[in-house]
Amino acid sequence: MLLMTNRCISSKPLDIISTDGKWMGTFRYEKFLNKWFFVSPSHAQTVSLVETENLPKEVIPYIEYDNVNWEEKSYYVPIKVQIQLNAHCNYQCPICYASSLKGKPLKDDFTLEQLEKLFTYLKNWGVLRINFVGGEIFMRKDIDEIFNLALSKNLLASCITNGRIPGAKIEHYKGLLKRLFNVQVSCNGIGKSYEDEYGTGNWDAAKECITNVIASTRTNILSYVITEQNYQDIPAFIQFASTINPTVIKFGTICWSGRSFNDKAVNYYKQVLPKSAQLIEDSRTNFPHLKIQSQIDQGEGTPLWEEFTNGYRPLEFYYAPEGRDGLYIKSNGDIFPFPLLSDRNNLILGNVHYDNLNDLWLNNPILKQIRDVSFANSECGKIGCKKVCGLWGRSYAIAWSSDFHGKVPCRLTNWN
Amino acid sequence: MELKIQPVIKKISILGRTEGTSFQENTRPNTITLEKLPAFKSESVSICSQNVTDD
Repeated sequence: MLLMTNRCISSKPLDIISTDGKWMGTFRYEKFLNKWFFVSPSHAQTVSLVETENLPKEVIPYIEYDNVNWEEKSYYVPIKVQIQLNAHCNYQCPICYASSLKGKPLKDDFTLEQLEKLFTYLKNWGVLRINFVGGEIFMRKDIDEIFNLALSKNLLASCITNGRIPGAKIEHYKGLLKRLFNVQVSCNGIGKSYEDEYGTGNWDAAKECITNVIASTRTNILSYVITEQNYQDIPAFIQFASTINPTVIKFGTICWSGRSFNDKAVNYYKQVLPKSAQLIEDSRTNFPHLKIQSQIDQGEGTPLWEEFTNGYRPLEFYYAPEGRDGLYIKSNGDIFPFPLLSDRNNLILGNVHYDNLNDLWLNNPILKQIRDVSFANSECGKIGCKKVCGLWGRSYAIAWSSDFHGKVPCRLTNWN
Repeated sequence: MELKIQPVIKKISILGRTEGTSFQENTRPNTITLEKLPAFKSESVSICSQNVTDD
């Protein structure tokens, strides 16, 4: 809710520039937290939270004020935006939420000129991070220029890739990859299960490319979406991961959207995920030096639990960021709460070519409905579950149940 | 299964695309030029793993 009061701190970002013109960091006040974010390119893997009273004295004269008091259950300005640069891909995976196809670029993908304007808007709005996704973003011939444009606006940039294109030409791409604060490499299988998922006949080449990309990035995530076809390969995947040592290994589940919409099955939750959870636990025991994050961890068993119990934001932000701390912009400009919901026309918030992002963020009724869902008032909370898990994420629950307050099947509800 | 999601606000047509208001607001961020970053007290949280479902 917007309330008009006197003298609130503005969310306008403040860039700190060195005397030789280099970006050293950005302060940006967030009304929801009553704190400042601080991000910097030299410590890009962390965001610092700063009380107004602890700001450097040099910053104080530059604080701007407005009359807006923000009481919605989200940040006043998103800290991150995920942008789909292109919908086409070098693979055509059956679980792709974006339903990406092999082939040529679509004519309505963003142009460089449009991206330049979009980055400028996002920066000045107060967004701190941009995550680039496809399709496969390295299918774009102008990817170097796109990264450079985003970085020139003093934004932190990251991306998701399957690694095949940059990994095959790593000498060409490694300088560019190093400029991103994080790169997530998708590896949804190992050996034959990889080849089946990606529709390729050459796991060995893919493995080499993934290895090259992980080795050429500052920080990275090696991600694995669990499927019925690949869950038995989790031990082999971890074995592979241990040889390339990614910053974080992240296990996720299928979101029944896009190309996988018609495949949704209770058995996935009843059989596949419990077995996968055990295999992941075994992996943690066998490879204690690896940092393994899993969407199917529960409650205090969740790694990094301390990140959202330290009180800086409600747990809903951690498990269900949709419309709370970020937005997703599709390559045709359509705006969604989250990428995994971008096959749902009834969840289009607007379009960046026509609509004002700030107005949408503040006033869109779909966002208000999503933000009003808490763990307690969702179906999970109502049945008395105390172990919030990653499956509570609204994208997954809405994709399964078509209900903002819904849930995916679990043991507590006899797999309903 | 009952669809409880609210109806579409508006379906945007790709046809007739023009430069929209969203792109036209172009105020600049404030900037300060300093020799070095001053020290300040803060608490840090990881970005890399900030959300369970960040893709």
